[in-house]
Amino acid sequence: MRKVVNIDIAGQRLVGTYHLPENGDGPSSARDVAVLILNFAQLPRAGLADMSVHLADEHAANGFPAFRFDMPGLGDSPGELPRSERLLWDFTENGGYAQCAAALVEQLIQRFELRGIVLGGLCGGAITSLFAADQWPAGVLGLILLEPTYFLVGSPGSQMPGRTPRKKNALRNGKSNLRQRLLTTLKNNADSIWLRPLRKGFLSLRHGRDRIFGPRFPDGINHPLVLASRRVAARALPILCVNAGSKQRWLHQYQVFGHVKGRRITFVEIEGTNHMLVPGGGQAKVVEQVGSWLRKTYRASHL
Amino acid sequence: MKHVCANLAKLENPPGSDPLANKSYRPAAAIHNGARLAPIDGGHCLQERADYLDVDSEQLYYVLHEPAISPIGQVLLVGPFASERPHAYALWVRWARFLAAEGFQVLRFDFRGVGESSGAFEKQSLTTWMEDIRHCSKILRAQSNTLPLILNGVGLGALLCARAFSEGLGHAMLLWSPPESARQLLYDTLRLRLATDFALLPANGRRTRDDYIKVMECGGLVEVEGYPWSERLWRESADFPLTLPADPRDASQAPRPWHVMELDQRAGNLLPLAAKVGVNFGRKTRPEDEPPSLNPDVSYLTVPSCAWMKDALSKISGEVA
Repeated sequence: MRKVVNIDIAGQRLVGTYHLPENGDGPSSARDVAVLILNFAQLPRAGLADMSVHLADEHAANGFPAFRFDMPGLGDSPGELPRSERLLWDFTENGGYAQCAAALVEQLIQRFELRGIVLGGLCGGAITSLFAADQWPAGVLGLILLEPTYFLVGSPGSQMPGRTPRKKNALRNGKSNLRQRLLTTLKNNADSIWLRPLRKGFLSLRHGRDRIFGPRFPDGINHPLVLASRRVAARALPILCVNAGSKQRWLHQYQVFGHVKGRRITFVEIEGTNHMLVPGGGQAKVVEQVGSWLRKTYRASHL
Repeated sequence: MKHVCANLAKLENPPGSDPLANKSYRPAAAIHNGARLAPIDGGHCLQERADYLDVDSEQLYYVLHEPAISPIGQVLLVGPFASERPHAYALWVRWARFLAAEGFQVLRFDFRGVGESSGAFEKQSLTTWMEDIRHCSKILRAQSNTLPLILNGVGLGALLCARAFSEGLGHAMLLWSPPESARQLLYDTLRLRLATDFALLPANGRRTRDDYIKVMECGGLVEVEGYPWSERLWRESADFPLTLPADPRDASQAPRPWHVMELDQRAGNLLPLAAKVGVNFGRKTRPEDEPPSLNPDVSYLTVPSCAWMKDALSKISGEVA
């Protein structure tokens, strides 16, 4: 059962959908924790291939109230929309929707008398969730991060503060190409018995280096987002991080969150799909994984 | 919160030549100013009302756009195929708001099994989507049955509009890039699955389009862009050619005027996906390549479309009355 819900925040109308929790077979105590799914970048609140709808339906079937809202200008919500996707991505990567999302969380908690909200989304939705949970933590009980993008897409080429851009010379380019080839070989032959020791050794070396000298990020990383992620993780907020493929998981698990003590992060890797987590049966796997994590994390704690 | 819109507006100044850009956001601005803002509960607002209609144990999502003045006519917008919906949505909403600003009472909706409407996609077919059109036209006619009703569809929506129009629904019809048949649309859209396979699967794991068609003909489901296509959808598409009325096509002579417009690349994401598959997916993106425009100027399409609608209204309003 779905209902259209409009929330008015400082004169701005946000249009959303409320998936009413079903009685199902579980306890009703989970109902005071709702799930809010934000826009996947520029897409309407249903998401690509209606993934947000399926996620919300799954949560509602498990007894969690679920909401999906369009941020200003997106989907059915009125507001300005830039001409270019790149401008919108830039706005999102800089946390442009975070305050709006935080105000929405507050309004939903008040109106539906909730204990708190688990915030989440794919790509841009995950970025907004992280910034919102970092800057306005009240009411956010957890995060569902689907393919959070730590690389700047809207304004690529940005550098981490305090780090000078790498010089482009023949030697470095040669080393970079060699390393890239090695990484690609290891990644593409993850099941190879012969390469497995090499892969393990390489990962151990890299992990060890990161532990001693601190993680090294590639160029064009969204540094404020990395810092926000670490602050959120340090609060021991339950976080589910879903990635397509091992390369992204490596970045998140070791470089972004690796040094955070007391973190409660569950990493899930879904193979055979892409960044949108839709093709190759990715959508069904995501819905299953998120549903399972929610039940385990929130329903169990209420029993 | 206001800073969100303000900051987004700062990012870019939309050119003043685009009437869609100028007018589509004005209702939103009016809402912000609170002049016509209704109570927020229940999804009601004087300009736009989003709600659900119960249809056969499913919920059909629709949005009714009301003009600020007394409406001059009604427009039922029938959207594109499921896999095109998320990309075309921003422009589709702008088009609805533009028409409302021009004095039309507009209704847009999601087919059952797609977007905000409930229902499993694999259980839907062209037949159920035709029913959705009829249900939505009833919602619109319940607002006022004296106003002329214009059907407007894009892609698959245009095809369904043509069928509904041939069955007697509506007083005028404007089609944007209708495919030759539903089978042709599905056949073209299947290329998206091939493109995905090419990117994700090893060479020996890929299938041909005919392989997938066989799977559907044998009763299996084939996932295309996240939507499971069923045997029923594939089977029904064979009996769904584009049915256009007999001549005359001229709005000045036809008792029920109709018109077909072909979209081109300038229509951005309104252009059916199948028409874009010709691009080379294997080509590396160059730094100077801009991503597809999110919110392009489509005045080349919307201004003549709206003018045609008003022209058609002037011809048929006497008959409706």
